[in-house]
Amino acid sequence: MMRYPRRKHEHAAEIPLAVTGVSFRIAPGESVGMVGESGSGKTTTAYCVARLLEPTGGAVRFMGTDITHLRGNTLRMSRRQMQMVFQDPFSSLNPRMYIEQIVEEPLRAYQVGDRAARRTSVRDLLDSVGLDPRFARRYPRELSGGQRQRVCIARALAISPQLLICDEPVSALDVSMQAQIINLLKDLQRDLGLAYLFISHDLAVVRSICDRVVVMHDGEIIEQGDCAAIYESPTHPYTKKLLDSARVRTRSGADYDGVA
Amino acid sequence: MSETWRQFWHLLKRDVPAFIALIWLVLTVILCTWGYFTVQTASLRQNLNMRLIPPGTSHGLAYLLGTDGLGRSYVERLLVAGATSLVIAASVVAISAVIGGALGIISGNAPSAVDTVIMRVCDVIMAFPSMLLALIALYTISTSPVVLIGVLAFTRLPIYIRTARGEALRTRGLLYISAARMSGTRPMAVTFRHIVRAALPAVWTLVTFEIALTMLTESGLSFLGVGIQPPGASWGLLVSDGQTYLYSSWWVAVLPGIAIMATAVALRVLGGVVSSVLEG
Amino acid sequence: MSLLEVKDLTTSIVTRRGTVHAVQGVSFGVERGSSVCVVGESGSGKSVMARSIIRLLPREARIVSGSVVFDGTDLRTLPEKRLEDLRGMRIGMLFQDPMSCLNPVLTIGTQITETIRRHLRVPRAEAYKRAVELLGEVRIDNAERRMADYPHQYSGGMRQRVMLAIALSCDPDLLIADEPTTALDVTVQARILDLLEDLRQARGLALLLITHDMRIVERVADQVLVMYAGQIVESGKRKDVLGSPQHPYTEALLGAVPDIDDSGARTSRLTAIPGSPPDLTATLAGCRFAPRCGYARLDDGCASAEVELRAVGAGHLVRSCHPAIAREAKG
Repeated sequence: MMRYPRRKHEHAAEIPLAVTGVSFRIAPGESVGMVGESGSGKTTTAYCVARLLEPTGGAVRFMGTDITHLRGNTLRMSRRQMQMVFQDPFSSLNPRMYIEQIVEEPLRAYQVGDRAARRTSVRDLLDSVGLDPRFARRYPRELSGGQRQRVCIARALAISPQLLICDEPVSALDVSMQAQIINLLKDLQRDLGLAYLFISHDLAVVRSICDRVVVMHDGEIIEQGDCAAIYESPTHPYTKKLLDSARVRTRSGADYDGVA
Repeated sequence: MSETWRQFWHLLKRDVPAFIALIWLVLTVILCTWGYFTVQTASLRQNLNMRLIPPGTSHGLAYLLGTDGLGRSYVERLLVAGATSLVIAASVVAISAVIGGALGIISGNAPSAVDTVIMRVCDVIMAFPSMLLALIALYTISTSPVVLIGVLAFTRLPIYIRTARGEALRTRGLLYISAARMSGTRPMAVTFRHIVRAALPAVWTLVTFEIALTMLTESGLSFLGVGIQPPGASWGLLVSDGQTYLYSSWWVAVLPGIAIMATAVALRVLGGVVSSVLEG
Repeated sequence: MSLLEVKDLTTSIVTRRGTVHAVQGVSFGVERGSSVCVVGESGSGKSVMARSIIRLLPREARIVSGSVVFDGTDLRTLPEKRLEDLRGMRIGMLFQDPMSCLNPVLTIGTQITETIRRHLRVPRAEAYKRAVELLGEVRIDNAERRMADYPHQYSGGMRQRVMLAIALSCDPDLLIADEPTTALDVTVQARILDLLEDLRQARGLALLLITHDMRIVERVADQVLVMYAGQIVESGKRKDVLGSPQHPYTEALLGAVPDIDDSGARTSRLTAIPGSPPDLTATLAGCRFAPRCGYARLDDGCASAEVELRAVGAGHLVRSCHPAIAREAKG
């Protein structure tokens, strides 16, 4: 059971918003979405969970260990089962490395197998995200946005994590590539039993991937619970506002003929 | 790694000036090295009957490029001098690039106290005109080539430090660094695998400029008498020696000048190609 | 007469890899006050087409053939100077990334007033007043104070509103918007689109909007053009194209959009089109979509014969060997 109770984080320099009193849990194999507008604190929260930032207060417990204030090698070891897929498929891959080297990096870091074994793993990983093995010797700039995001997912899966934190993984993609990645993430979850913390500003995407949802606004959790329940009958007015603006409204409802 | 070479050749084949540059540099290095080990003593042989002969084929291969004020074969002089110039320039640049680059990356990644100290030291070094600093050092310590290399490298450190630091700062915020940390890569490995790799193109571009600059600075110092001392020679020293004969026997000063210029330009042109490859 | 009439527009771009045939024989019209949405994936040629209309193409691109007539004026042969006047005065433009269109070292106020003065030649004081009014129209609070702010002090949504204000400053007849909300939050997107709609109604503005998101099309369009590999593959009124899509690609695009109200969303799959768009440097024959089409069969002749646009309803055209009505008829 993974728990993330009560985080407080002041991040004065970049985001002039605190994240306060954020508490939620993610069960193994469960997919939890985090929604809200830009600046609501979703990304800060995700980075705190991933321990790329250190929370000022509260605790982050992952697989029974309190990782809130760990540093260095202990941190590395204790969050081995947690991986992240970042928002921008363009800058999250080192432009001067081959795809193979990029996906291999976690394997090298945790010294999994020897060179040959790692190479095979990389090929298997690329295959599992739907990329042809010949992409291994290419540079990121030769790939499309959707393909790059697949590489990010392959890299994240390399050391078989239990939890995948996805920070707006499809926001930078075309609608058709978005659909491919969403399908991929759903398949992977089903096949590997992964838990997801899925950050997105797009409520429709969250609905198709998540079991539960956490709604954030101004650094605080407004509402959280079962996805379908909240979408169909939101209790908090802000949630209602979010859902309304995400729903398609046409101007003169008269000639509206819904999307099939 | 082999991929980088392949790209390099690929770009080179299509870029005629770069190809010529490469050939010039390779030839220069080979000839000068050969010259240094074979004709060094010959180049010192003075022949006062053969003073100031202009370039031409009338006196045979050894005098193809004429002679200088002391009747020494200029072909031989140029080759030997070239070896010295190239070795000095290469050493200076290698030392300052490696040390400066390392300091810059450290500075960009270190806590602000360390960063501030390194930056202020840079400011101090940059506050002195490099020629003046070199003059003082060479006068007070000695004029050996080692001191020359050392002091020239020292004066050029700040620019490498600043460039490398800038690149380190820029790269620090990029997502792939965060991704590397999430992948479990240790901080040292992150620095070498990602940050250094990112800083390399900028530092390399600097190197191609600096070699030429070093050759010119060294020639200035030699002219002032504190650089390479006779009987040693460098292209710079030959240029300054040739000053006296500039209007009568132009080749004494002009030929080594052309050598410096051609090498500098070739390095820049080739450097451009290498930069493109390093950028990926 | 339509406000904008485009016939057989063909644009090519010269690149190191070869000549990219980005736009191939595109024809459509935009009526006064109506909104036309061009929808397609990246690489479909939609942006190049929009830029071809106002000749804002990079040097390597050339309009090879076709005509572009705006309110009776041939835009292809118009001298550059007069075209510059036209852009801004009569045709406004809104691009995807406002940060790259705004000068970071000038205040917002300066940038708007300069645009107004460039085209309308009014004294500075009056331009300033108009600028403040415009900021209010695009629903930026405290407009007067915000004139003195710099672009980096604005959020993404606000910057796009500023770009809209600049685009509308000289009261154009047509607004060309290229993926104007793609870089924004879905909630901010909604507000910008509503704003766009309201302003459009109030001013009788015609809109040509380029997007890859069917949800935006649903919200904003009167007419829809679906582009693929440089060609229009389906066009018609919104209710026809979205209500009964004919082309397999249109169907796939619609199926790829996640539905916020779908209770089965968690377990169902979105329509993902396999493969990727064709390489436009190659000379292609036959139906460009055939390699990715779920209905194409080897003996269909899809890949060989050029497919033309055919009408399947009033004003509803489709370029396909397997339009939905044909498939339904087969049973």
